[in-house]
Amino acid sequence: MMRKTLTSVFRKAWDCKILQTRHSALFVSGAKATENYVYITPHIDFPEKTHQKDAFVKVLQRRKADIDLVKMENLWKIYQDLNTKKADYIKKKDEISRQLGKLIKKEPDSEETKKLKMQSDFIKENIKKLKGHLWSAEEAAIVEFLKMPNYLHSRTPDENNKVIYTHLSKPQNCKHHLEVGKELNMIDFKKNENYYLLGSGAVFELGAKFYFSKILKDSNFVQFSNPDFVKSLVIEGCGKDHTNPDLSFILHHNEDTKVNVDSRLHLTGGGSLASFLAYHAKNVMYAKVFPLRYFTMGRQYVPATSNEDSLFNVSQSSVVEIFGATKTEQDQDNFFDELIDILKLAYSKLGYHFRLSLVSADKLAMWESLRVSIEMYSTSLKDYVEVGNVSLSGDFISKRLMFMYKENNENKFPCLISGTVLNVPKLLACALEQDASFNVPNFVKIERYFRTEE
Amino acid sequence: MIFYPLFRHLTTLKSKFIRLSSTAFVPDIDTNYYCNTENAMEIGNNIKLRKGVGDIKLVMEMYKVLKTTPITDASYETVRDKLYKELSCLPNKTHPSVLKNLEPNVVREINQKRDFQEHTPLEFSEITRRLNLVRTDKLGNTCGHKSYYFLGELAELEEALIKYTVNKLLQENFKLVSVPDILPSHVLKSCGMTVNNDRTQIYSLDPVHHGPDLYLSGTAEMSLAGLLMNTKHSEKDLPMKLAAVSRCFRAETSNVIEERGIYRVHQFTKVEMFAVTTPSQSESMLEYLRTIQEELFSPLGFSMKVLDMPPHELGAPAYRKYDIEAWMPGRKNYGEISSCSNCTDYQARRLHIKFIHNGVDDYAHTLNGTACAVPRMLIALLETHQDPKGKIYIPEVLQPYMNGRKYIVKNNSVPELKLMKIKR
Repeated sequence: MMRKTLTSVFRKAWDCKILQTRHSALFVSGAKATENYVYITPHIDFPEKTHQKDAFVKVLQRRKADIDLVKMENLWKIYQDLNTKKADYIKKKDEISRQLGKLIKKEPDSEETKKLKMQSDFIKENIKKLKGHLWSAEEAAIVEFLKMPNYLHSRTPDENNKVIYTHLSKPQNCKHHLEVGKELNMIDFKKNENYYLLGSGAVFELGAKFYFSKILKDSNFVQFSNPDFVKSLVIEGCGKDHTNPDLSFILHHNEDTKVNVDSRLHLTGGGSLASFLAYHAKNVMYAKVFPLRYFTMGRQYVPATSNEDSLFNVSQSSVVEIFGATKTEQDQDNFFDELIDILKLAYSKLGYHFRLSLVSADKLAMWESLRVSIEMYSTSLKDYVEVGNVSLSGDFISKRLMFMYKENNENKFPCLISGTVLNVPKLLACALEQDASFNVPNFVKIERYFRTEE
Repeated sequence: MIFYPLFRHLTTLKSKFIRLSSTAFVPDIDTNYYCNTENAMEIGNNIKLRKGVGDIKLVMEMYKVLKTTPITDASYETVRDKLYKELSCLPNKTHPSVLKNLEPNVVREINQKRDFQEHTPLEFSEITRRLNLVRTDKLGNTCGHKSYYFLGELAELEEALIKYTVNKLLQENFKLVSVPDILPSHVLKSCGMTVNNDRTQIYSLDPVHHGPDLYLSGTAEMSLAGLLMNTKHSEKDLPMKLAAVSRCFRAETSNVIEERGIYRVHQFTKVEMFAVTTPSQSESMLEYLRTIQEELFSPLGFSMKVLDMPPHELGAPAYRKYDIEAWMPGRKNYGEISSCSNCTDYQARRLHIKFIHNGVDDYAHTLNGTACAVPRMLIALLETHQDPKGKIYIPEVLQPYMNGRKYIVKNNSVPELKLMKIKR
């Protein structure tokens, strides 16, 4: 009987292509644990999701996500069945051991003792056999689970972005920033992967970063200076496919060790969400330290997605990146509103037209639950361009990367708020395409470097 | 067959074109000097004094072979390429006034070593641990070996140093440039870096995923050289002074005890100076760059010595090099915080940077120097200005960039972390 149910479980597993190889840097199955060092085991909350299945199906629809929930459920069921099976075996084994313990002293050579011994050996053998299958079922289920997107915030709109704030009106001309930049000898653009900002172009880059740095410090944000590399597990933890070279730069492996696709170094730049999570992954904090309010000025490296020469498509950007963490969703929402106010004021002072939009569900990354996009108008593209953003992700990433806090002797996952509040090349491009001819704006001037000055 | 020679000529032209476009760069090395047997002795001695890289005998022999090979011969290009490969390894000439030096010559000493009296000054790592200003531990699994985060006021001090340095350089009429950190290999090679894929000083992007030829810049000098490659300047525009703030990536590791902590790291921010001059200007430009460094560092209060480096300490492109070493009282050692080099026409010939002199093209001279390499600057600053009561004095010149504050104190705004134990 036991054997029969086992084979039926395996058949199901086969049907779900459980055996096909899949990669995860975050989750390392027991079978591979001997060759790969297991740094993190992500927290998996699939059962919670299935409790509100209808709501989750709706989320998938609104996101237009290509996720097969039925397949996921099947994989999960197989994994659970095997788990139950294992638990049953263990229970039975313990039961027999207990009986055997009593019997072995009284009648060590009786038939009954021999029988129990045989049964015990048989069950141990079964548990051993089960282990491999359990591991692959677990891996298949969890790898699939890690592709599931985050839930959506109640403020996230459907279909179209929702403009929540507009400052001034859009420029009317038809300039291209690369032409203007070349004319003014501010940009030497070789290609999207290789460009130089010259003279006032470079002064603009530094000054714009310093301007935002001052505003954030004045708003009680703590400055960080981050490293530029992260390991694959952090990339996957932040909701990106770490094996996809279009999403992050992968460094050449120049060690003598074997190349492992799940343990590479990625060049993200210090001005990235990944860099802040490399700091927090697998760490526990006390509840009283929240909220965290951090920012950094640094580089952000993202492979260029388009071949068209433009500062909008470059693979290296100077950015100002923020990172926050709160205990509750309520705190997270309040923090979000506070940040919107800070950014409204900061961008208004620049004197350019911009607007703030809430991004629609289908355009969000899988880890985001809500994003506000700071948009400026490009007259060359005849469209709005995102020069900055702030995203909420709830406890989605903290669960994947085991970033926790302790409250009432219980480990909990904080809500994360993050964003590139300034992308310099994009801001510069839009500034060059304004109606008025370009002059080095006051907010980037050296006199502003002194923090005491207003 | 009257067309035959013409045909032959065309094929050589064609193959030459392919060669030029594939390797992209043929360094224009001064063969009149390097391949003249009369100079063999001088060049040979120079190689011996420097790092011993390069084989002048081999160069002379190859040059002889090349001279006797007809230009139309099939082997001509192979011979020529081999010769240029050998020529490229040869170091620059050495400034006559340091030729005989075996040790660095101390040009001057600036600022007294601070007297800590009965206190033993702490090391950077210990100071920052006590004040919660840096995290370096347990990062190997999430961001790689030797990573570090500056926290709170230390990150602000980094920003202050950059502002202070850039402010000074802009006042000195340097032109600020923002540079790419990912560069193609020929730019690196032209700067005198050896590039191969494994075990090098240079990081590269995965060749399968991102193309075979992309490297992470080790210094803005490389990126600026890439900007100036194949440029011609009018004499009146020289000297040209450039400055760049960039991230620098260095793959080399070190297990030397002197280089512990953040002394030698894989990534850091640096402000770099770069100059293009006429040959007659380069010597005074080197003195000028050194003066700028002295003027930048002196007000920061740490003790330092300016060194005129001996031949064996010069990198292949340098003709003369000054290093500044700061006294790091916690480590009880001097540490190099900057260097500046005159590369004369060594890089210019490889990068084809020229200027027009009386209507004739000539190679320019290039120079480079560190204006602020953040990690070591922070070591010197914190170790010098530590207070036994556990705070750090901010030098007066940096205070305006730190909102007028005089001291860095314990950072309580970034909570300490506790690494979770894994359960399986």
